[in-house]
Amino acid sequence: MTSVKRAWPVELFQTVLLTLVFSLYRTDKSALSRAKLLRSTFITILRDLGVLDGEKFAAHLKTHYTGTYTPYTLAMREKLKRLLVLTFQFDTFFALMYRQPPLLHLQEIGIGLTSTFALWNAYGLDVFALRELEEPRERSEVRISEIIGRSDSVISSGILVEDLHLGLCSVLQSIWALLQANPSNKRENPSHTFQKALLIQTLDDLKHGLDEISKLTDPGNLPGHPARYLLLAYRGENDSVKASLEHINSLVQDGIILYNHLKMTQYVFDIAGPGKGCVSHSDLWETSKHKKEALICALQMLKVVETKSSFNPLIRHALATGIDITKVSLSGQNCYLNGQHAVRNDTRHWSDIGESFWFDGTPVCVCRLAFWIGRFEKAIQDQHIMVE
Amino acid sequence: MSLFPLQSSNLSEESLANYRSKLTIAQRDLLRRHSVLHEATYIRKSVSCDACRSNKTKCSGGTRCDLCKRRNIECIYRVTSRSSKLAPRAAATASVNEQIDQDHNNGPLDDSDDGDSGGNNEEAISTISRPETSLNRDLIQRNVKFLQNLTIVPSQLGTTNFPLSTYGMGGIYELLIADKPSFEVALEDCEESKARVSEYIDTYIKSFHLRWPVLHAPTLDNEIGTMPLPLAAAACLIGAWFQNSADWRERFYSLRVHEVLLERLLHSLVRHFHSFEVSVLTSLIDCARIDVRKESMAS
Repeated sequence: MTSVKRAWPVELFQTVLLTLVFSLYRTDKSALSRAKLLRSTFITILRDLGVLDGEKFAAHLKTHYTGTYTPYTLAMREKLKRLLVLTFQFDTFFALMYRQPPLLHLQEIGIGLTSTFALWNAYGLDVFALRELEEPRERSEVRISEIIGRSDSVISSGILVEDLHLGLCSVLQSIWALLQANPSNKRENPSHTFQKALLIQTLDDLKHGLDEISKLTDPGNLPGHPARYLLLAYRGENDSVKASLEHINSLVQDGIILYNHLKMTQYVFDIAGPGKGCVSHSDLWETSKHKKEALICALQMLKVVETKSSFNPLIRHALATGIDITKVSLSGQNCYLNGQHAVRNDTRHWSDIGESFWFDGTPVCVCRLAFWIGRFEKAIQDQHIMVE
Repeated sequence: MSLFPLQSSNLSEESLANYRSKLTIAQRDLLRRHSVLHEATYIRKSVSCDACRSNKTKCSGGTRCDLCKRRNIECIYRVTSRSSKLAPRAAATASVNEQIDQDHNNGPLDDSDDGDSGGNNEEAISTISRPETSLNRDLIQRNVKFLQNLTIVPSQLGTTNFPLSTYGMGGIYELLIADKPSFEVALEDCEESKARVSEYIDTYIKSFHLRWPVLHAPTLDNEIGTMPLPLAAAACLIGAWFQNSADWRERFYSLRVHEVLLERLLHSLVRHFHSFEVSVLTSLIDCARIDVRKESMAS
């Protein structure tokens, strides 16, 4: 392996990461099998080189990228940090999409949080100098592994959307750990129930963080000071508030999709296991008390996806899971009203009324199964970004 | 590692079907490109003799062409053979581009590679060494058989024009196959290529980069020409893919570039860290174990 004297081939690693991320948009098997091989090789090499190790990381920066010229040292540090953080996110996405355990764990990434998008995308030294003054100092001192579960308390200057993404991504590891620690015959014991509740609580807390950011950047709240740090953090080449807001909103949307996908995955794993999904275990699904929660997740995600188009490669897989859940949840039902549901114009997204419920005014019932599946399928077809 | 586009093709049946209706690839052109790029023994001979070349006139061919007879000079055909790995490959790509340009300009060629009935065509013709010619022909025959059996992208229009772009993703694909170090030289000479690359990077930064800020955007914007080719190509393929106006050809070559990168990067990683091959293998075994465990859990 490379000795300490040799610098890590960052550009090779960046190329690998970009190539791997693009493979998330592909659906053909041969490309995926190569991507799988490249992914495991890449992560093994990162691990073996010590790139994930905080001390080795710092030593490497000191050996190869020292100097007093801040833009240079910061750019080199950020290059490596972003490489690791985004590799972790890619790994989670890949694992989530193909129902495999993640290879990389957030706890093993021993580096501090990345700088803001604004600093990383400062065009010109003059802009860099100005943005550097506004940069929240403590971010780089907060370890990525500390972000899980207590993101609010560790970053006093305010949490960013990508921090919440990291927290959400780390939950997948817990979902797999829970699954492995509790085989199907032990799933009713109190310990498992408690762990599961904790996991759902962690997901909900992170979703709450996303909602808070969404509220802060609501046009009605914008003149207020609290959103300022967000608007500053998401500037790119374009300094406008509008550009920052668009960026924040699309990241929040990605976060909500990730949250719903993780929650659906948790329910599917819990009810049917990670193998063939829920459709092949309709009997288990029928008797599960969580089927309604899973269905609500699927419908909420559908609504988010329909609201705004996104470049997120997870959407297609999340929608496919949503279709499975909707099918398996509704097909076992009976329509007590023989299809004669009253029209409801609820302001609430969904409401509980006996055995059936409404979502955005439409009953979620077996008699409307074709309608819901049609909506999911249309949303999938609208994902033009995927490689067929 | 095979980098021949059809051999390394990873398109699923469905995706191929999408392209099938649109893409016309003349087998002969593919074959020539394949031979030029991949056959170590490939001997490229001029269609025209040196005198006709310098005179810029059509060469009548044969052991002594008409012009040489008239001038009463020795008729010499230039021969270039591949001896090293990298440099000739780069040279070969230049010749591929030249050939394809000429194919586009001259229209369909006849079926005989060593005939000189191609009008102004100055392409591969063998007149000096019979054994070499027959070797080349054998290779061609083998490859023709291979291509005929493959039948991935049949020509629907019956033309021999290969719809390769000399700029855009097609050009990037060619550069990548030729192991060029960067875009720099290619961009210097072609304003169209510059414009295309600039569009890709613009789209990359405005869409993909917002979610996956792996690269330093200002550097990417300003130094794309001098960046290592695989990195620049990866950014370009993503930009090309997310362009709303991307046509089927751009998308086709984006996928080809991605496939080449998937293959090459794995080799690059293993080569770069060759002493860790064992540990890489261990990790792959681990992955296999996880898969097995997953399956057993599922069952």
